Amino acid sequence: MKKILILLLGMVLLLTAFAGCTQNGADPGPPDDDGDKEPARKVVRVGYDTDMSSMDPQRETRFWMVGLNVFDTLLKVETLGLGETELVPHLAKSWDVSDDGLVYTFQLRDDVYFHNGDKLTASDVVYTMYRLFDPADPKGNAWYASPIEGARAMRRGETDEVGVVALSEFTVEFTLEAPNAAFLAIMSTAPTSILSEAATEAAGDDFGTDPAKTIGSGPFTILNWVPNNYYSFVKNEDYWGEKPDLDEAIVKIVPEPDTLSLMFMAGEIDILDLDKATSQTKYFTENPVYKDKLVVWQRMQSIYLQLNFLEKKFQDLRVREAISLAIDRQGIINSIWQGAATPLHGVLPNGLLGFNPDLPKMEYNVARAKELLTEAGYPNGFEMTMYRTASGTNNVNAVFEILQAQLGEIGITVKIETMDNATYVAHRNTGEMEASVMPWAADFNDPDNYLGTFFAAGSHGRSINYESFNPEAAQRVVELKSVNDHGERIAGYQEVEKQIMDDWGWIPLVVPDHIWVLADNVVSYDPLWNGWADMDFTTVKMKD
Amino acid sequence: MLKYIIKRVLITIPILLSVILIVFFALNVIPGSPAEVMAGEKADQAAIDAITEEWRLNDPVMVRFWHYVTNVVKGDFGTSYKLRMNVSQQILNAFPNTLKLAVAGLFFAWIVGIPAGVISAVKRNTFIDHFFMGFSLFGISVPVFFSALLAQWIFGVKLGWLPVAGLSSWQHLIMPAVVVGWASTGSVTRLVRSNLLGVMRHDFIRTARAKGLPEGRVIMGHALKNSLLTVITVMALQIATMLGGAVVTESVFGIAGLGRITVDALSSRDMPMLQGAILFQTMLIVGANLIADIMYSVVDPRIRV
Repeated sequence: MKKILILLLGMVLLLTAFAGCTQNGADPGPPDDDGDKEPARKVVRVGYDTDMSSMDPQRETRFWMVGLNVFDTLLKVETLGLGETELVPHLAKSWDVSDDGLVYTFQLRDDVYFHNGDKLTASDVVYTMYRLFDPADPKGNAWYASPIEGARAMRRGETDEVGVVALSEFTVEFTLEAPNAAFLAIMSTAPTSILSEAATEAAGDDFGTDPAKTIGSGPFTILNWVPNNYYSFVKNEDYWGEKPDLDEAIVKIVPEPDTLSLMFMAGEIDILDLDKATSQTKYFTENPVYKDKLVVWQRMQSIYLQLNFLEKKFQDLRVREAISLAIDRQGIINSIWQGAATPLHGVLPNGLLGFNPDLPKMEYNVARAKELLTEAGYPNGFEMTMYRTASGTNNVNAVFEILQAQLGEIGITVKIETMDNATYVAHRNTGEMEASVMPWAADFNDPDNYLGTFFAAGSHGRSINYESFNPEAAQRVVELKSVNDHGERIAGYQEVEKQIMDDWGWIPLVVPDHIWVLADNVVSYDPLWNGWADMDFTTVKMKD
Repeated sequence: MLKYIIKRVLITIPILLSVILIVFFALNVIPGSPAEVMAGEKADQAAIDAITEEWRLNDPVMVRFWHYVTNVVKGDFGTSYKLRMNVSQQILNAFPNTLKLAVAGLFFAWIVGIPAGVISAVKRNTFIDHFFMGFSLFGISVPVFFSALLAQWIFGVKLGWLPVAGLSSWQHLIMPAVVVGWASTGSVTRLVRSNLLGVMRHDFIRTARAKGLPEGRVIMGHALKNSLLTVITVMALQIATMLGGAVVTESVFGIAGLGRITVDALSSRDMPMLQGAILFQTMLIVGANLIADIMYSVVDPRIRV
């Protein structure tokens, strides 16, 4: 009798724990069937393999869904066609630039309201910038706005003033440290989204973590966020601009790519990002059912091989060229991207400002590669280690094995070292990483976003160390930032890029396409100009 | 009995303390700074330095350890570096999902596994025995990853009977529970079968039969009861493992459970979250073992002495 009693007690305990936890505010997941409730509501459901880490656009460094849909920027990038973008007025209806290129004066719209009903004024813009640079509460995205005078110093705690002033209720003036042609493009990126001073201050630590307190002025408000599970946006009925077609957007977090494509086939998500399920590319692109349902866009993304100039063997340009010659780019494209990619021949991808179509094409010539290696004194090849992160994109990580095989053809033994992301970044930040394959996607449409990151003097350029090999070219990259004349600046970047390619400072590999598949209920969707996975939900149109 | 339980509970305290100690120092030895991950892929050194300062990551490890332990004793697991949210709240959000999966999975495993084991033992070397043994061998050997995708394809896409992923209704639970439960069914079935076969050879079974008891009572009342001891151990361990979160199942079915939290925290070096999750899982395992020990002493009074 006693035994049965104890067993029963155990069962009851387990069940109450179960019930107790469920009431604890846990959310099992997004609602699935909106059909029977309100048939007229337009809800789009998409799948993502990784969740964001914050809803605060100044903190979130990888995913811009919230920044794009919930907040507004001073300017906006409009896509005209592949690689053709135009910066158009958004919160700022017009602007003036001083002759020396240092002072930007923005006239703000006077009809913009935040989600809490407050009017957006110049003082909100000033507040946003001061918050971005606050040394006591550092933001991962602060580097975006570094051209502003005092930004770097303030982040180091050396000054408490930056070059942003409200001249009147709707006029705001930015002063830069040095002329910077990319500044307007920077002011159109999600990290420079304008926040509400009153709402953000009132939210305190809850800004970015509590959906109800994370308030912007954009076309959507955040309805819910359960980390690692889902988040959702609802239409802002009082939006000052063109109101979105959608009533709601739900982003489900599902880490397994094959599950995502099965969910799409079963009708549980409405837009499938094939990036998340590349193995299915052929199935969808060659299936007549989906013929009219594909959205194909080329990304502003370069996948490249980096070889550290600090390594003695990589200081010999013949070795670098031999490695490039041994790589069959088309083979990589066919086997990993199932044809949906193009070979890359320089640093900048096609479509980016300053892209140079006249750069020499990369060749594939194993015999010549072997000759060069022999000339360089490595007739039997050598050993090298390439590093990758376990959390890297599956496709990019697959390139490693192919390179291992292709470089093996000319006698180079490639060891692949897989690390978790934190270890990888730590190793790369020492400047001593021997070699790696990585993607780099454009944050804003300017060559500096690429060349400045990898080849500027004063940094090891993510373990490339180009400055140690060609200090003049590295210095030139820094100088070009403050050249005011657009034509002269672009020509300058193209010259430097040519020099970098002559030095084999960067081994270009491929530029993958980005393909989305739409379900029957989705009429259209426009990707971002740079082909990123982040979606601007105002571009999604659904059937009535 | 009470004294026994108190003694067992007291032993768990040093276990938990040593887990905190080991996890804390192990995480401090592995390379990779949380600040670099938090600052993001494209951030500059200034951002990394500022974040290091903000979370006091440069303080001596003993200082941080002391800080952490005193907070944990007060019941405060800290704030996640990555999400800037309360760690306990995140664990409490994820745990119900893991618990649902575990309860449903084990329910399936036991409700199928125990009877299958009994039938196999009784009908030894018949077709039905071979069938159940094959079934359980399959469950043990097929990776969850594969059976999950296969089930999603068949029942979610082709037949459309069940939702493919998510956990917003009871229908969502069926597929993951069966998939994760199937793997456990195998070991339960085989264990019940072999134990039962062993017990059936004992003298008391012959006595029971000799005094004319029906075969059903002999098996259910005498043989099965005496063969359950090791089965309970295995079941308790299964509870503990399942409550720790089934990482693969949670990933494939898009369930936001403890396993996902742990893996995510590890890859982003989110120390407070990871320590909290591991500590919580340790408590579950220690707790499950405690219950198993108590159950033994109920089933077999000799253990108490």
